[in-house]
Amino acid sequence: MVSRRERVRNDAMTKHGTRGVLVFPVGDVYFGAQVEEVAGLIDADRLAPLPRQHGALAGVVAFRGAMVPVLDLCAVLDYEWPTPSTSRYAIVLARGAERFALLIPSLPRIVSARELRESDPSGEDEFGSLVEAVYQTGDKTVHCLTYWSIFESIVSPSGADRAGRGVANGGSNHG
Amino acid sequence: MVDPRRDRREPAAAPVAGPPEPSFAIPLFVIVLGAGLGAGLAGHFLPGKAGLAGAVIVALFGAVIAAIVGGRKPVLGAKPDRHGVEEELEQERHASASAVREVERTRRQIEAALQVIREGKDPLTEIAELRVGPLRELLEASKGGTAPVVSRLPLGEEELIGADAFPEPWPAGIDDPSPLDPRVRAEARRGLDQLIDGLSRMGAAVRRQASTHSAVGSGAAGRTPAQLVDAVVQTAADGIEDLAAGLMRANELAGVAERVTNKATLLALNAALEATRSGSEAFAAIAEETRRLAEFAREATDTISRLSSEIEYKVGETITAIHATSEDAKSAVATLAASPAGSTPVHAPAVSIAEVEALLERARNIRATLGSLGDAPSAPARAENKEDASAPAPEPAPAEEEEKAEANPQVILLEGLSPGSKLED
Repeated sequence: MVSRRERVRNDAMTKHGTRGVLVFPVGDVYFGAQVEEVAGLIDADRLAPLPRQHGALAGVVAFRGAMVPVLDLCAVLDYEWPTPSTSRYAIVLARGAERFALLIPSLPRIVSARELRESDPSGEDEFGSLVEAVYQTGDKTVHCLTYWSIFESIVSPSGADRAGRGVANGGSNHG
Repeated sequence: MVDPRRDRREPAAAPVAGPPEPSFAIPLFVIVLGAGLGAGLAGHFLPGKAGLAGAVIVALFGAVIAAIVGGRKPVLGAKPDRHGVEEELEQERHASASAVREVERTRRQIEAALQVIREGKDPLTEIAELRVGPLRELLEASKGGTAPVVSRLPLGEEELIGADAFPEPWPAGIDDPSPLDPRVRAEARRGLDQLIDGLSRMGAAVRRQASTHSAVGSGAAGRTPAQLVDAVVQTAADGIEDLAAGLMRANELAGVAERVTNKATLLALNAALEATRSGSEAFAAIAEETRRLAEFAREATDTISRLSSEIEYKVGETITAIHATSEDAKSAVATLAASPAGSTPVHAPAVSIAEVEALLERARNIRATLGSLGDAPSAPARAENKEDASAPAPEPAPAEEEEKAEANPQVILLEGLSPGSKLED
């Protein structure tokens, strides 16, 4: 039996051949996350650093009473932050009970985007195998990456294994 | 008509000497001798004091008799000497002719002096004869305003009419007063009126300029123009810097508003995400309203930030322009101070005011003097003019002025000639 929530979401996805995408720019590239994968959006001005943290792991942040690890997307993609004083936000991605956050430099927007294609295994895309899907909204192209795979490759092997399974099963888990 | 002057001049003629009276000598001698003899006899025959009193009485009686006899007219039948009478008459005729010639010469001098005065000149300077004549003291006294002068001398009728007026003193400080010609006087009065008007306007303008200078200089005592420019620029710069500080504070508040807006946007996004995830229409409505609120706050915050940035930019430009103007003003002041003409620009108006006021006062005095000369010459009118010498008299019409001049020419009164008397050749 399909729940009411699933029905609303599927209606939204199939109504105009579009789906909701949370879009945020990093540098001159627009990235996005499907709204079904997003648990919430929080300020990330005060991140708690972790011991022995390094690389793209920026720390942890409190989200609805739980500690969520934060992954610096700019560090992952090797982009520079626009200015050090820029406000930072964190997009909390959820997959079942697991959550982690992507640290982004600006507020995202929710747009209705048309899906252009699925991931490109040939690696011709700029981001290669990191791209899960590409959407078009207006004159902008939005790249949805395999955030869970990226996170699991950085944070923990178990998490990376699960993320890898999620990507292999269709890109993302819906909830 | 009897000329009293002739009667007054008779004692001055040469005395006519009559022949002596020898017939009075013998009786006087006999009377005096008889009185002395009587007094001697009375003193000899009368005893004591009675003799002395009798002698005195007899002597006094003789003296009285002799005095009465000596005071009588020579009417003792002696015939008058014809030769002596003719000589007396000739001497009197000669004296009368001399007096008439003297009067005629004085009349010609008066006429010439009047002509010179009508031409606006000094008779003592123009006519050498007057410097040594009997009119010299009168003319000098008249010039100084101390001698009485009759009001009219119609020389055509050879008559002096009453001295009912006194001349005004010649205006002090005027080299060429020319007070008698009515046309000249009218022209001078009009010119003085115009001069007074011009000086009044000039004085007012200079006074305004001086007040401006004093207003500028009153708050800047002891400071050079360059320091004044610095002070003005510094004041403006301080004010603008205060404004800039206020703008910075406004920018900070705009940042706070932007953070609030971001929070609202974040809330709207979260509501939209939750509505999408849960499929709740209530969440969707809340998300929509929150999104609108966030958009409104975003627009307002953007507008505030843009205006604040524009004002800050303009304030910066103004500060730069003020500093540039300050440098230009300092250069200009330095150039002006280096030039000779710019040494004492602030004190010039005070000197100009004094000069203009002095000229104005002098012009008013001249105008008042001319007005009193041209107005009614009677004593009450002159008294009024003296009381209010500074007030400009109303200017009469030219015709009326000429009539007054005809009726009241200033004529010098000759000493010894009474008003109303007639000269006879």
